[in-house]
Amino acid sequence: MEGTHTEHLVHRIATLRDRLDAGMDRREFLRTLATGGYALGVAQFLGVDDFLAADDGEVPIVTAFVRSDPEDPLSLEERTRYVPAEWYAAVEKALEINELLAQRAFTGYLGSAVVPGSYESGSASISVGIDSGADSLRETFDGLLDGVSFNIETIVDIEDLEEGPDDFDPRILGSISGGSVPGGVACETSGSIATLGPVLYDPDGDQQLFVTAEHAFEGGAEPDSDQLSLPLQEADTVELGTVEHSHPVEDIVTVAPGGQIEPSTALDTPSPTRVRGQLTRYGLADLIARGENLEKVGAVTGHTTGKIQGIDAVTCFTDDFCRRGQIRWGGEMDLTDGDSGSVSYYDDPVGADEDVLVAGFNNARTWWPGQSYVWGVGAYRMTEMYGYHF
Amino acid sequence: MATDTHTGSDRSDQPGIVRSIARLVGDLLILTCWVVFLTLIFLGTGWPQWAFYLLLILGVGLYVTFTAAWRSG
Repeated sequence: MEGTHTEHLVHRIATLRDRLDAGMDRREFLRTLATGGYALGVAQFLGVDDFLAADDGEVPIVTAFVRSDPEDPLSLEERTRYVPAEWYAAVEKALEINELLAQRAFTGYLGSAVVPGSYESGSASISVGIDSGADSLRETFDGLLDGVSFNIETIVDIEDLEEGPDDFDPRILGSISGGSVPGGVACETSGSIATLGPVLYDPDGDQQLFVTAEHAFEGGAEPDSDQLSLPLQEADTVELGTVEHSHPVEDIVTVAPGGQIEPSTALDTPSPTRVRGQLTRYGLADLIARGENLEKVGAVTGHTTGKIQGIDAVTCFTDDFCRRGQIRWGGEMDLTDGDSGSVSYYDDPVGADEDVLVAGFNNARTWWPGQSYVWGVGAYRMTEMYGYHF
Repeated sequence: MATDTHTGSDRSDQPGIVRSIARLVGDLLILTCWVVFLTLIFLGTGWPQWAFYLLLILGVGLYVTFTAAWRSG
């Protein structure tokens, strides 16, 4: 557009505006035009029309990857479900904005999570945690958005992390039967105790791995050197194997079986379970939309259930980096030292009675007032980052 | 469009250039926040598209009106 033409046009509108409203001078009117145009541009950049203009139809989402042959790790099949397009568009946009927030991590940002709404509401929200030191930020946001989709949580006592073991009495496996160890029982590192996960397959599907929490290894797990062992009630502790890969950001270590003992798809739960696959990001969003519970079995707290509180969560509470792709669920009483490395799971609605799908790992819990949940990396995140799958 | 308007206004008011630019940067910062928060509200509520744009422009108008009053007062 040519400058003189625009100037002329703007001048004409401005004079008209001046005659209509003497209270707003030409400069301010130009400011309105410029800033208004800019605001519309930002809205376009954020892609608001993607979800504002979503129609009332239904779209398919992939909710899970399930092994059609329970014994064949490569026989993965997609589970799909039809969901309202409006809901899908809102969740998709919330995931995008959450990603933007995490990348731009402003001062005082401690984390955020996406919380899909119900299917009827066709909505999604983002829960943002900020440091209580960033008070001005909190006041600005609170007045504007209290009770709406953008929840600000001030987190106090962030330094007050409970260290050291609570009184615990871990569930130790009696004896090994059939040469394999179920997930959900206690395993041991040189300095600590954690919960063993069910069998994790490497990307090629040709190796079955033990898996547990990385922070159970004091000072960080050292691949090819640190050992993972299994305490037994009726026999001496046995070696499970040597650490193969350590993923401190995801808080996961994989351990290659070193002897006769293999990992198992079974979990040590009250009723028999068999891990048949894993939930996707949208599979978890679907569970939140329907208000469904996840379950877990930890070596110390045992079997618990709880609602999912957020997906794609970013947590910057501990260490000097942020953890991405986390699941928040349950309550802080559901996890204690020694439960780390356990998996959260959901009953497979299609498969056999004992079949379950893994949601993710449980590695930490809230320790500050006002919030209560357990968090850990989602199985979908492990698959996206490294290709591991259940 | 926005840039054109801006240079147009500066050319006719040379002494105010520095102040105008400072104002513009402040305006853009605040308005970016406004758009982001509106987006989050609408994500959470599922309100209609027209309401989004109405509130967006209304907010801009109110913002400019109020800040103009402060600055001149």
